Amino acid sequence: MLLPCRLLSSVAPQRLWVGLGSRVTGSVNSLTSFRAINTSPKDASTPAVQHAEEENTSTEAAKLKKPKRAPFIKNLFLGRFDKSVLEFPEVLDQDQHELLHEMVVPIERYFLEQVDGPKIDRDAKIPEETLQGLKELGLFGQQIPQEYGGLGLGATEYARIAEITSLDGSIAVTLAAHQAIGLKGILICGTDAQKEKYLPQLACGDWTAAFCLTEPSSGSDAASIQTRATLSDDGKTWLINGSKIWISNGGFADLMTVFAKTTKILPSGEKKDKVTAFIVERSFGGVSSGPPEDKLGIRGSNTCEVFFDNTPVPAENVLGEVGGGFKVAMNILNSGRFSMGSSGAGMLKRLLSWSIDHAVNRKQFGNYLSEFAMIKEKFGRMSANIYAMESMAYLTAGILDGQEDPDCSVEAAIVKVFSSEGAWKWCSECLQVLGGLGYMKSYPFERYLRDARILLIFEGTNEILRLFIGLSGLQTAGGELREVVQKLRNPLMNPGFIIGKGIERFRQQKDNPKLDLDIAGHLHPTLQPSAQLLEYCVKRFQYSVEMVLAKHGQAVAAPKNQLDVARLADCAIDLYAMTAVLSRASRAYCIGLKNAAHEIQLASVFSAEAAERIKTRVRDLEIGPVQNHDDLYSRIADAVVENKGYVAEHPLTRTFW
Amino acid sequence: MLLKMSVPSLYRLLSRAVSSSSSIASLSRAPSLQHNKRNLTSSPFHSARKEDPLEETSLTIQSLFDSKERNKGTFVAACDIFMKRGPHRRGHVEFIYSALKLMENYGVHKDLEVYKRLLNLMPKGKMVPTNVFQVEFMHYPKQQQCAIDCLEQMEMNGVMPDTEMEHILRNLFGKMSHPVRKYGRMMYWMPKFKNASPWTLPQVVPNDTFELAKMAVERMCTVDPSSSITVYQTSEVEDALEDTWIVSGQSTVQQELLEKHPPGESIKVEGPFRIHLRDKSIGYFILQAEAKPKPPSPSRTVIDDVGSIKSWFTGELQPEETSLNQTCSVHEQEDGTILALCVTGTSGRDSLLSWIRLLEKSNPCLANIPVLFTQASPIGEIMNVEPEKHHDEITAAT
Repeated sequence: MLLPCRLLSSVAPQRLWVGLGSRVTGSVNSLTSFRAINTSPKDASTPAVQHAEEENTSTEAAKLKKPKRAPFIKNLFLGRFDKSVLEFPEVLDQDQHELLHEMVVPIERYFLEQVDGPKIDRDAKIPEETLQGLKELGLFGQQIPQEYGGLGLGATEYARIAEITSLDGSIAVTLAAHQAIGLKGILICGTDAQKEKYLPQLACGDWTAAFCLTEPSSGSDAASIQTRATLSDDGKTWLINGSKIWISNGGFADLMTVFAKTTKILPSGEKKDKVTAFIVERSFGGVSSGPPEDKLGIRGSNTCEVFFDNTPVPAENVLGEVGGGFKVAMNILNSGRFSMGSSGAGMLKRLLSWSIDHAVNRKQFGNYLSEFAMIKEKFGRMSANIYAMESMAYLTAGILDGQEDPDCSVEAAIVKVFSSEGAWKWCSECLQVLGGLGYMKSYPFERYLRDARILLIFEGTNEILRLFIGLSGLQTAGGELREVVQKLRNPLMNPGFIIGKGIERFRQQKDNPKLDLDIAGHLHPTLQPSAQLLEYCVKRFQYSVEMVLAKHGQAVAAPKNQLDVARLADCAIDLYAMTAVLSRASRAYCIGLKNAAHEIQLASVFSAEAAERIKTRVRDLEIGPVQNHDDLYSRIADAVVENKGYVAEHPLTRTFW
Repeated sequence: MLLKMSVPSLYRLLSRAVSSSSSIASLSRAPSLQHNKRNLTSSPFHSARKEDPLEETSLTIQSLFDSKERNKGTFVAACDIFMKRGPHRRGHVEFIYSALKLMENYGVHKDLEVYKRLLNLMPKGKMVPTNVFQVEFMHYPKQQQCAIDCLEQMEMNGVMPDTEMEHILRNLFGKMSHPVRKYGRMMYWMPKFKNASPWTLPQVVPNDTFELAKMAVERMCTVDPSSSITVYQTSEVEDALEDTWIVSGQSTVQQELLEKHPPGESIKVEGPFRIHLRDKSIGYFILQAEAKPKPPSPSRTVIDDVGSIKSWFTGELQPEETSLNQTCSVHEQEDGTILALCVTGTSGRDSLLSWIRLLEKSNPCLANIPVLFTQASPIGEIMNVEPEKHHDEITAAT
């Protein structure tokens, strides 16, 4: 009887109704879970019209105006936890939801019935008719707005479709190279004329796009590219010269987003090289591509070198500003990564059910495999991991869809790192369940495993992304903690401050931070222990950020300090995962989804283990490089590098007889 | 203000008391007034008048629901006619009550849209309270009670309201009114119960017995993930008398159990037993062997003895040594070992005979095992076999 009392005692905001009985969705500005519905048109004649209309217009206005929120993870580095994230996003309204689910059915059927994964892998080519089918399903224009002939999907819908397209790695990569990066530049910062000209052809799949950034001399370091664009004397055409490697779709793409160095003359007369992005049609001339590369996985996707030899590009085909290419590249890459979580999860879900199929039918030592605790543990852990992947992917997609001008670059990178590693690890474990069978080509596991390996490498290797996550957060934190860190680094000059800080940190040093964020108050009570853990981790994380900044100062970005940054990044990854699983499980339990109790179990076990990992990392940061063995490893590595190989003597070596 | 408001409502209360000869609707008793199933506190008065749904309604309403054809179309048409009667919609409470009672007759008692249509018959805006006292003392009690009863009937039929329903109710009675509170409680609990069952069924289960049979077998087979469900036609068997379908479920574990079964010992086809799928039920049969005695659990001394841990890598294990780490399958129950189950189109003895024949294809060992057909059914005579054969046990050797 909680409800009526609450209603009576408070002049409840109208939205209260959304979160009946739970404190979670009860928080007022839940834009997402409110839907404006008109009652029958007849009502227009009744006196209550005004009331109804008022309400509808106000909710519609709320719907149109998305809330603007500060980036979640970046703020987390400052110990600020935005609790609105604990409200798992529901961005699709009823129509969109139904449309999406109608769309999913034929796509899924197509992938199960028409796509021959083993053949694509064997021939290292996606058959023309398969591509044609994908085009007919509209998969080449998923995020292109409807007015340009695309499907106009939001991030959430895109993530859902990615779950299915990931059933074949080659196709997923071909599609991603086309639209997640290839044409994304036009969507993000193209002019109207560019959109008008190119998007319709790209949406229907007549044209394929590619993204040309990587060069032989610059992989992760995008700013060091050598391809050069020079402006012709009349100022109307750019001439691009250079070569790009490992370009997905490079063999047949009709349109390429190419990054090249241009010379910019500063007001001072000084010349400076800056990266600029160009839209290049193959038909401009001077574009040639090498033979397709032979790869470990995603063999059906076309990857090759692309050469530009005096390719003329009209000036209006510059993407964004001249000299603003680096930003364009980062924007494109940052916006494409989030869907890897759902595609990884989609693939793993399929593999999980296949290996379970094997485990329940295979008997050894008188027991079915599914009865062995070691096999069961694999399934359990894998489920928890898939759950985290999915939750993070859709939470991020929800933020992208539901917020005004969202900054999700760090979140997207987190999703990418977590899910690519999960996909690789759990693919391998699924294969392990089948033992020798899994190793055979007649089963799909080895193919998926090979395909999954690329996830850790492309769109920014996981190492680079860890640095990106850590340093982005530290940058934000550094901006605000500037003075604090300055004082911390000069303790003798600021004795009063240090004593004050010491008292403040007393509890932190005892590993017993004060929990005052009330995260548990925003989740279902069942999840209270996990919420406490999350809160503990947030506090410890804040403490360790301060610690790392105080320890290294600005040198935190130096290559030798990467391990500490990576530790922070790993903490951030686990924190985001915990937040996502808890918010999703809480929502599921509150609204009574099927098997919601199971979700609670998944969320609890995942957050308990994530908290354990964070605890260890913070401890490692606390005790420093000597005790956490960073020093030792560094010295070993130095020796190995010096020796150009393994240093220790062979075990059979003797110094005397 | 309060006085002004209370006069018409008092009048309404009185008129209601007089017209329907029931007790005055008070807040605490109100909810029980119109319940069909929970009238624990109802007075003898209205339990007596519940007999005929149309008895107390006016002639005009009766005529609206007098159509021969009883389906959603005519029901909605009746509502529309009432709607068009004019802006005042006089007698809407009576209309809704009589409509509620007839919903099952018209087969619309599980249709959310129809409930919304009924509630939309009430005039909007007029009944929204304007002060605290009106809110708490059930402004327009008869109408509010009517809406609550409508929600109650939805709840009884497992119909979950949606957001539009909330809008309708709030436009009718304001956001703090009793029907909206009732809606709130429903929306708290009903979604939780909606998915509580691990076996999902469609909101309305099909009438087709074949579809039902598939659902039933599928549900029962969930105990063992290695189960597979096969649909047979009795025409596949040479001398089958009945031409019907058989939905059969058997897992690989059950096949193994059947293989291990000693050839001389008979097994039985038992049933029909009844399984319910929402409001429908269907009879199923099981192929059952006598229960095997469970292997004795190892004695304390054996378990405590860690000096001789047995495992596969110490050599080939003897059967008695594996008993420690082998569990009984879920099919080996105390009262028998269930080897397969089926639903047949006719539930007739001949179809069961065909079932056994068809099972022989995937279980060759069945040819050597005598099968008894018992027809001691716990649910009585629902089979359409010849009536004189309803003996306790009819044996048919295969």
